[in-house]
Amino acid sequence: MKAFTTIALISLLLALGLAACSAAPSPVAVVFEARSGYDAGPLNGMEAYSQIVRCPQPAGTMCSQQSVVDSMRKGDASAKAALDAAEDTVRNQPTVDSSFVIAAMQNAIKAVVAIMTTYSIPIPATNTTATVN
Amino acid sequence: MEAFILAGLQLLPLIIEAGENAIPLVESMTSIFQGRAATDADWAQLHAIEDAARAKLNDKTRDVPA
Repeated sequence: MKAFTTIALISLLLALGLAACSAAPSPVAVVFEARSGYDAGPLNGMEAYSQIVRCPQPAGTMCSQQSVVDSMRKGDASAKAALDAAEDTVRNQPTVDSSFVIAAMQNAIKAVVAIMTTYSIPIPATNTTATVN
Repeated sequence: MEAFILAGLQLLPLIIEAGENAIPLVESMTSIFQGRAATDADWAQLHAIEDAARAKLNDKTRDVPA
């Protein structure tokens, strides 16, 4: 009975440990997920929009606004800088606290999403768990 | 506002196509979040896909002069 209790206790501790691990992914995984999600979602949406012929066009013809494309390019440049900084920190400086660069990266991605939302530009959905809070 | 919504609907096929282009990336990402550590090759693939998309975003051939 004591052995059974010990095994059960060890199993419980292992399960809790695994749950704790899965609840807190490593900074590298967080940045990889964010960058992948950004590429598969907002960046793909911006790319698709920018590939459409610019307005004005005849009625009924799909077109993209130059000003919107310009805004998206600026937002993407900011996001790229933040993504690069976060990636460099988590990959090359593992002893440094990465929470600030990760927060900056998430804010830059949020800014891009806000630009796209403002102009009702669809963002491709992915099956990633990446979220921008 | 309606024009924006219409533009969004018209964009959907393009968005879906763009999303399909990212499927290998998403599969790699899913694998990593099932416990596999991201390798240099994973990062390289990520950068390659991202650079290609960014090159199209910054392509000026359709731009109109300010």
